[in-house]
Amino acid sequence: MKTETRLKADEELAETLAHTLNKSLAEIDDLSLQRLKNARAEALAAAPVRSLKPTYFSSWSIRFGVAASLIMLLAAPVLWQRHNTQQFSDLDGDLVSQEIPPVAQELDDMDMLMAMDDIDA
Amino acid sequence: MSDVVALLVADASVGQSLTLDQFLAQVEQRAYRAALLTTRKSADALDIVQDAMLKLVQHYRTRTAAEWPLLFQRILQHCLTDWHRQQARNRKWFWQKPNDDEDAEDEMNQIVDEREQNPVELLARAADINIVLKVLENLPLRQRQTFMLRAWEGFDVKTTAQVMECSEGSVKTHYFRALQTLRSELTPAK
Repeated sequence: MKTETRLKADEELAETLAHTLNKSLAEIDDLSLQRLKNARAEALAAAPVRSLKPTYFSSWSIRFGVAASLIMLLAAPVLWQRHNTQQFSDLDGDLVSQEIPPVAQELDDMDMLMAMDDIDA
Repeated sequence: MSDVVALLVADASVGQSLTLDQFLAQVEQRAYRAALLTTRKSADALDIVQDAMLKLVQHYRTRTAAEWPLLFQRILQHCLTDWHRQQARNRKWFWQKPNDDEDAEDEMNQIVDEREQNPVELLARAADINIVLKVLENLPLRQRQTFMLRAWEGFDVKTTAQVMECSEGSVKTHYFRALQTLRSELTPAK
């Protein structure tokens, strides 16, 4: 019984204090109210904070680009090797089909021998 | 939560849109009063309220209106606690005696006041704005926060515990001690 009375008295006291606090709001000076209004306006004008979570791969286009680049990097050596092999085989075919020209050093030797013959004569 | 804010949030939940501007306009004065009771300095209280509003707008503007009161109170209480800790650090740094050591005050509050209390006189003093503000200023931070959230903002024990990030038992203890202290302080000395 005593506890109930005490609880009721506490509740009544809390209600009275809350009512008094509500009344105290009317006593806030105009300058503070104006500053509060300005603070609210500034807060509302603030841009939202960007998430700290990394967004590098958030876009599908960027994901696709990264995947394509990786495929190209992996495939490049294979393609390069295949291309070089094909070039060599084509070159071999060309060499077979052509007449072998005299080597430049042989031509020089022949010139030198002819010149020596002329001197002997 | 306070009556006006509760009505606005109820309107928002039935389809009428409550803008963040309207919400902040309703809570800013109450937040300022709560901050002023802790800081006792108008400039610091304004900074804290602005900081709390800014954080709510920047981080939670996309949340529903029903979530804003709890979020705003949580941010505000965090700001007040941070300010209080900063002041305590500054006092420690400059070798000043802390004037509101919570543990000491908690021990003081465990002493039951045996003075005879006249309920009519008590409530008359509780209706005096200056006396009430002075008495609330002298409460330890956690007790004041609990009292303001439970008695003034109208949050239940569970919500208050969520806002203050403590157990429901702690909320009950702080609230009981706050009322005990208030009753004691509001009782005129014979």
